[in-house]
Amino acid sequence: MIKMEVAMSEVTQDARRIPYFKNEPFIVLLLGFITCGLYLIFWNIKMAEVINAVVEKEVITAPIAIFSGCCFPVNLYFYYLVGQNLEVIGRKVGNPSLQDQSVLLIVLGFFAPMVSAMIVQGEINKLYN
Amino acid sequence: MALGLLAGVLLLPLLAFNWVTAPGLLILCPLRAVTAIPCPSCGLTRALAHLERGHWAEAVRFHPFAPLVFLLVLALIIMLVFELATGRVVIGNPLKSRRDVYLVFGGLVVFQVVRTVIFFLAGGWNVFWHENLFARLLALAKTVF
Repeated sequence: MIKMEVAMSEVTQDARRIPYFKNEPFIVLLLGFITCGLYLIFWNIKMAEVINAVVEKEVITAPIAIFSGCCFPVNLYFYYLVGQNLEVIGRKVGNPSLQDQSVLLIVLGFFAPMVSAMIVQGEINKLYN
Repeated sequence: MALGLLAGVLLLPLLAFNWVTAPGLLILCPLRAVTAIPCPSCGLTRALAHLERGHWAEAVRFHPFAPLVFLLVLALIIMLVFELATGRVVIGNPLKSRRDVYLVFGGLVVFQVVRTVIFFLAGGWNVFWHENLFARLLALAKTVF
């Protein structure tokens, strides 16, 4: 019972610490196109904040988040960093097999970064359920 | 990995100048491929290619931030090599506060809005209507059927 309360308290603390950034993945794609990519830069900044809060250390700095939104090879580095932390994210969202998608994120990041963004957004949304 | 990517940013345009600046090159930017409107970084590779060959005016024409990006990437490569050689951390995070992050983002928004307006004023509507993905698919369908 005490263990359950401690676990519940940790979940509540996590929920307070993690910035709220819930979006429909399709909206990420749509806004990315409508704003000529500006929304994807904003998305990267917000997602870096969320991921840093989830893994409890600064793994994606703001300059990387910004430049990954507007410089082609840097976005591969962004998804590489996300992929490296998928294990922790997967644990938090209750999807332990999430780390298997790290290569997929980088490959999609090369050809269609907004699809990678949709996948990450879809998983991060589970944090707020 | 970061060093490899940064080196690639400068070496690819230099070594593959003809390929990068070829007019019929496959568009790698998914936004431009779909909408035909340039994204904030569209033209940067071509701009860097011209910059590294000493064509300054062409470089700025393709992307006004090309000289800044070139210097930034070069500085980062030097600092990363220094870090790897000495083990000392010299690259810090210049954007610690959220205010600074959103100031830079705001700058990018202004840049993209101005760039898009200039794009349309300089005949971009024609490019937009004829080179977006749906128009190209339609044109392809017309040639097939």
